[in-house]
Parts: sequence; structure tokens; C-alpha cells
Amino acid sequence: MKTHIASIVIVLCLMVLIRAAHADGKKLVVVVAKGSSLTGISRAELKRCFLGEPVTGGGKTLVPFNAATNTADRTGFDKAVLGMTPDEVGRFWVDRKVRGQSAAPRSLPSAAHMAKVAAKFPGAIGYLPEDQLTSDVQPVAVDGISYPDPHYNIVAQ
Amino acid sequence: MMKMHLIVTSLIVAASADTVLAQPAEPAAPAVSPDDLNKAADATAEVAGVVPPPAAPPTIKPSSDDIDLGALGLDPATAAAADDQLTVYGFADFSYIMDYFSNVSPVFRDSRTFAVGNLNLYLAKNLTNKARALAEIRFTFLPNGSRNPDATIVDSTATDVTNYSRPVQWGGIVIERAYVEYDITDHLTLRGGHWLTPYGIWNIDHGSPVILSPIRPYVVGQQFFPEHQTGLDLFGSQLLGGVKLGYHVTASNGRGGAEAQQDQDNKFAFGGRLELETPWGLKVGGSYYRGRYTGLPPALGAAGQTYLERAFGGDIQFDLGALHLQSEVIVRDRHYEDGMRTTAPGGFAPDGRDLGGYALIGYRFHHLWNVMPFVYSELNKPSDHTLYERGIAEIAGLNFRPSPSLVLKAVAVHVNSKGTGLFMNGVFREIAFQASWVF
Repeated sequence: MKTHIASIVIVLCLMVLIRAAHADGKKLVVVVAKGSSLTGISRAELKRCFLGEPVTGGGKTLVPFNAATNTADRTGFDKAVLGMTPDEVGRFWVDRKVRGQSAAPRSLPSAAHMAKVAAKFPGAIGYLPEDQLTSDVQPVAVDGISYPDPHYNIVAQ
Repeated sequence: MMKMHLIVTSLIVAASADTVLAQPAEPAAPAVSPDDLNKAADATAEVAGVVPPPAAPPTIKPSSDDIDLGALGLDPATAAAADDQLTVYGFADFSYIMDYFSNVSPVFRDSRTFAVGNLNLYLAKNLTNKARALAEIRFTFLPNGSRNPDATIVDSTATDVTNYSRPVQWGGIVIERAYVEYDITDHLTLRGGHWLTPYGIWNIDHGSPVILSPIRPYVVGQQFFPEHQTGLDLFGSQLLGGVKLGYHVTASNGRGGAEAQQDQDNKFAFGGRLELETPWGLKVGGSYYRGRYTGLPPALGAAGQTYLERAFGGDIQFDLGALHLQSEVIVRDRHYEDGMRTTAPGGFAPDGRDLGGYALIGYRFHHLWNVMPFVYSELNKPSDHTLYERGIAEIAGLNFRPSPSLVLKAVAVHVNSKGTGLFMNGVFREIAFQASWVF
């Protein structure tokens, strides 16, 4: 009986850990407004866009929006797309300010805000955890890879 | 059967735990949701080799109606730009500097001093989706304590009538930048006003928080290119197969005695810059400037000093992870026309070529306040040999970045001067510490 209880406890712990790890590694889907002609973007262009350079997509100059700093979504996106740690991202934007260049993209307080802004603000581009997608946003493939593809690697951290 | 029961139970409990962990801010969910039960049933079926019926696609709802975009300043109907607020920010630095000279003289004397070098305030605003304005103002304690060309010292001490006429040392301001710019296309922007000359690396990056050492390399400080110009700068960038090509074309008053508000000789100066930036961290640039310097006339009706000048330079920067390399080489030619040559110690000022450059290597660690040890070497060959003919400097330092907005620096400088001049074959040593911060 003790063996069975121990097995149950071990299995439970493992399952919780696996599920928790999976929750942290949620795919982040790059999104624009539903109906946009932008269905795909290269990772290089996405990086340039989120580094403050003008990038056109779907006939409009894209306006990037970030998740709030120090969130799993923001850290994961910055790492996967910009190739920077939170410290490096902070230094990058402070240095740009001192140069007199454009400021960092606006940060939005929640995924719900991100979904709303991406759906309604002209030219907006953002990212959402896959389970937060709404019907009025449109996923954008990155380097031709859509988010359901197992090779899609923009994930929350 | 017992094992199957255990697996099903585990799945249900694990799924419940995940629900609670993943949604801490929401009202408490039922201990076991229908969705969890479905997942558990699927898992059970899989174990039992039963194929479950195809799952219905999840219902995706539209984005929330409870969020007011207007409150975020992002109302699609009224927002002129993503961010049209006036932004005020700046940087400042505070240093401790110790200088030692081998050839001590009234001009070169050892010193130890604290100093507030920069207090710069930025005012930035997006005027429309395509137009922006930026002003950068440096507040300074100068000109108090500075030396005039005739070797007298400026004393700005005044009596403060609001404080029983007690002495106060007033300072001034330097308008570093004041311009408006307009995006003609995504690849072409026109900037008009007073701007930093687009050349090299550490002229645009002139803020102390982004310069690794407390003091910029000598050749950058020498201003072989004008540090600022007043006029037009047409610039932009294009992506060519992953490589970014940047460009500038400038037309300005050129350098002069009152260059920001009056072109003393009615002759524009022209310049330009080309730069390539690769996706693997390499940046290469080349810059050019040609214009006429004309100083203020010493008296009404008299002619000010004037000469033609031409500067060109190259720069390279390479970042590979934490490794950072950068180098700049700058050359300036000065040419006096017949009859316009000014006097200099020992006769007339000659035409000449100034040359200088540096090469730097550094590595940013992710610990010890993100310390970056760096070393660089400088060469300076002035056309005017009043002080020396050739200066060679070796610099080693540490740049700490405990947070993105705070930079701490320590540096040791060793300079050897060669050739004839007041400081011939001399040695200059400096140890400097600086804290700079962005606010």
C-alpha cells in the first residue's frame, strides 16, 4: 500500500512539474488585426520592427507593441526575436534614448490589452500566448513557420 | 486496472493543479473542470487503445470590450501617433580625475579634481506620424573658470541680490541639438536644425552613459569633423538582402564663429556618410565633410580667419555576443588661400593634415554589475606641432553597468608625446572615475 501511495505522489509531482514547465513555454503567436494582408514576416524584419526601425507590412508601417517588462511573454519574445536578455534590452533602449533615437515600443499591461490593440490599432503588431488568441486578431507566420508547427520557437520563458 | 485508475487520478489532479497555478488572478475554478475531465478521458482512452472522437475546435472569442483604448492614448479614431506625448529625459555625469605630467609647466600641471561634466536634458515629441522634434540642452557651469585665448581666466562670479548679495557662480547652456525631422518615405528622412554631425561612432553617441571611457578618444574630441552643424541632413536606410545600408547627405553653414545662427562666409558646407550593417554584428562606415571655416571678424569691417577644410574618416564596429570591437580613423586637411593665411607662433599658419585614430576591444560579462573590461590605443598626429608631433596613448578601464540607467567607469591613461614642441617627449598619465546616469 505504501508503495502505491509513494507511486501516486511521485507521478503527481512529475505531472505537475511537466505541466508547469509546459505552461511557461507557451508559444507566443505574432498577431496583427484580422483581415490584414500581412500573413507572414521574416524574423529579421520582426527584429528590426521591435528594435524601433520602420518596417512596412500589409501596406502599412507597422507599430510594434510589447508585453509588459519582466513577464514571461516579454522575456521569451526578446530572447527569441531580439536575441537579448532583459538586461541587454534595457541597455539597448537606454542607449538609443541617449542617442536621440526612437523610444522603445509601448508595453501593454496584459494579453487582453495586447489582443485589443492588435485588433483595433492601425498597423499594430504584437504577440500573444497561443491560448489567448482572439477571433479579431490574425496570426502571422515567422520565416514561413506558423505557430502550430512544432518548429515554431518563439515561446514564453 | 489499479494502475489505470492511478494514471487517470494523476491526470485529473495534475490538470487541476495546473489550472490553479496558471490562473492565480481569476476566481477559484472548480477543482476539476469539464476540460480537464475531457483531457483525462482522452489520456485514458489512449492508454486503453481507444481512439477518441475528434475534438471540437476551441471557441475563440473576440478581444475584450472592457478595455478602453482611449485610456491608453491609443484610440484608433483620434490617435495621431502611437506616442505623441512630450518626453523629457536626460543624462548626467560626475567624475574624479587625477592628471600627472612629466614636463610640469604653467600650462601642464598636475591636478586632482571632482567635476560635474554633463547635465543634458532632452525634449522629444512626435508631432505627427511622420514628423518628430528633438532638443538636447546641456547645462554647464562654464564659462566660469575657462581660459580665454589671451590666457586670462573667465570669472562669472556675481552677487546674488536675492541672497544678501552673496557671491554666486553662474553658468551657461550649450544647445547640443535642436531639430525637426520628417519621414519623406520609410527610407528617407529630412532633418532640419542644429544636429550632431553624422560621422564615426562616438560623435552621435556623445552621451556619457554610452561611452565606455569617462572621456572620449582624443581624436573625437579634437573635432576634425565639426561636432555639430546647422542646416539640413537627408538620411535613411535600406535593407539589401539582410544588409542594412544607411546614408546621410548634409548641407550646412559649416564651421564658423557663429555657425548656429549665421554663416559668416555665405558658403555652404557639404558632407555625407555611408554605413553598412550586417546581421552578424559588423558595422562599417565612411564619412566626408568639406567646407570653409570663417571666424568672427576681430573688428567691424575686418576679415575673420578663414580656411578651407576637408575631413574624411572610417569606422568599424563588431559585436559578437559579449565581445565588442570598435575603431575610428579621422583625417582633416586644412588649406589657406593666398592672402588669407593667418599668423601663428613663428610665422604664418601652414596648410596641414591632422590625423588620429583609435582601436578598442572590450568584453561585457553578465556578472559583477555587468562589468566590461576594455583596452584601447590611440594615435594622434596634429598638423600644428606647437605641443608635439605625435601622441600615442594606451588606455585600460572597466565599465560597470549595474542597471541600464547607471554606468560606473574607471580608467587609467598613459600618453607618450614624441617630436618637438612644448610637450616634446613627455609623459601624461591620468586616472579617472566616473558615474553617469540616465534619468
